Amino acid sequence: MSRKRWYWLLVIPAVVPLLVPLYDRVDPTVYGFPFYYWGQLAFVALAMLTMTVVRVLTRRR
Amino acid sequence: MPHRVEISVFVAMFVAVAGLGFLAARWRRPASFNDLDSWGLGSRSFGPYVSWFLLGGDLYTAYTFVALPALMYGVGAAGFYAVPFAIVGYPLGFVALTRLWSVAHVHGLVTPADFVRARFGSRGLALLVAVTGIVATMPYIALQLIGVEAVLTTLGVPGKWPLAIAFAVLAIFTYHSGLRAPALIAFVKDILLGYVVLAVLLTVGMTWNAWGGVFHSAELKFHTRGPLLPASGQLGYVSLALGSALAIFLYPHAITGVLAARNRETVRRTIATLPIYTAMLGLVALLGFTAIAWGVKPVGGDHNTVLPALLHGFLPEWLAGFAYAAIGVGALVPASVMSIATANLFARNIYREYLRPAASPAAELRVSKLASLAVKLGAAGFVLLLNPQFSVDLQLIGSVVILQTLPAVGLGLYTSWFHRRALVAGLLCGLATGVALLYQTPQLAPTGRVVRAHFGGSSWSLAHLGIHNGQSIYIGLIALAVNLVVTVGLTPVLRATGVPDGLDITWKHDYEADEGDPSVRRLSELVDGGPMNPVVYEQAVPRHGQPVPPSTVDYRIRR
Repeated sequence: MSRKRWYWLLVIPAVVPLLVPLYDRVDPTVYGFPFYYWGQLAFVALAMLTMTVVRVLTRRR
Repeated sequence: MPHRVEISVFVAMFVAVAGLGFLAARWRRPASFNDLDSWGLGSRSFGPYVSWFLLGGDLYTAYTFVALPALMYGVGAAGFYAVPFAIVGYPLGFVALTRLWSVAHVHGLVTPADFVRARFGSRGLALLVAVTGIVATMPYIALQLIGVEAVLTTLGVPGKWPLAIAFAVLAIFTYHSGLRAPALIAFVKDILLGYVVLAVLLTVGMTWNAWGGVFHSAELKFHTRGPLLPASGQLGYVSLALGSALAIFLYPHAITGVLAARNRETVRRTIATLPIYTAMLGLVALLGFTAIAWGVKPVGGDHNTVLPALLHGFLPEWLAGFAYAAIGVGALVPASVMSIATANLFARNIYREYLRPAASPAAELRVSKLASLAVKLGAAGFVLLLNPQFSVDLQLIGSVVILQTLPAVGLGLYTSWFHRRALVAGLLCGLATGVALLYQTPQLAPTGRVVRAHFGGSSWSLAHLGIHNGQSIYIGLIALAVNLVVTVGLTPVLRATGVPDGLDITWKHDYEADEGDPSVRRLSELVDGGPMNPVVYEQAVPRHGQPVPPSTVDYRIRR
């Protein structure tokens, strides 16, 4: 049962990419990419990381 | 003949892949290849790698790879919504789809409508979900053809016949090999696509002021500081991303891809790693800006040709040929899975439910295979005979429409509280609202002139409510809200007035069952009315509301 609480971590990648005012800006730019673009691409890594952590922590046995 | 090298590479790859599609029938062939499980779900046997490629090819369609750069080219930052959309969908799918996989595995369910039938005990609701799924998916198949057409236009191939040939090939190998064909082809498509994307990105990165220049030219085109969303576009952006994320895994073809997985861990691992494709998609979308920077002109004013035209001007001919082949092959995978998914809906939830309830698994399979041909014929007809714009409109409606199955299919995974009649009413109200609002939405030119009066977009301006701040909201979400209010509001009323509930044959433990679980019943048992093996019959696990007994059944007998 206690293992199930790790699933709440998934709220992060499900909500953060929807907070538009957070990333609708130019600075800081990286390698010519405004934050708006590289920030959203970085959420991909955030999502994969979170899901992998949750997957490992909630694995049976 | 111009484009000779490109066309040769394209045709050669296409033929090779079609051959692969035929051979796929022999790949991991089970002893019996005569039920819907083995044809339409690859015997539910795909491991993490195959599932990853299959779902990747299935969800990130060729049309997406063509249309997104076109959208970025046309409207700028708002086109990037696909990235948050294709991120947010996964954490939701990670939990919900694992449950769906389990319950489908236990009960031998093949389609989302099968699940609704089992959960809410309503044939009518299942029929409605099935029809909604078919209506939403058909134009999506047609769009894949439009993706291929964009490539052919750029190559200067005249006429519609090459498109017809491509689709005929697709139809035949899908008929022959079932879900195994797109699963195998997806590998080829991804290797091609990955290689091409990497090559293009490196090329851009190494030339002309790299990405800074690319973004600067987008800035000049859209007159915004750093190509960003206008402040008035944020609500539309976020609601479109959220609505699409909720809808993506409700599509029958997405569910087909998930149910073909071997076990729960495969589903979880696949979904946890699928966002890699989102990164690739985002980078491909940015090629729309690259096209602006390079002054690429779409062929004949058709924005869908922006990406192919960019690749043509940018890459050596043979590599551009590979890129085109990636788009062409990339259209085959989702079109194939989509046609299988809609065919299964027809065979399972219309044919066997209403037309011939006594159909044997073999008959069900035959009908499904024929339906897959019919579906593709219909889609080809759409594109070849009607204005392509019609398919685009229908797909727009389709994504709003499929979202309305969320209460029954998505929330149904967590609760059976909803009354079946309330779900039917909610679904119908959601559909009506969605279509009405889409009808109300005109397409505006940047100058504000009305280009088309109806079905011009999926964003509903708040000006309709008297709020004139330029904000808009995704129509699918409004329709979903109406749907939920009706469903939740009617449920207690129907209970209070004594309208009987449907029988829920699923059971708490079913949603967490894994491969080899004793409660699993094979499809053949369900259809034939009982297990083959008398030993199993005696030890069969009682379900329907009783607790699980300690597992004493030797389930291997049933495999």
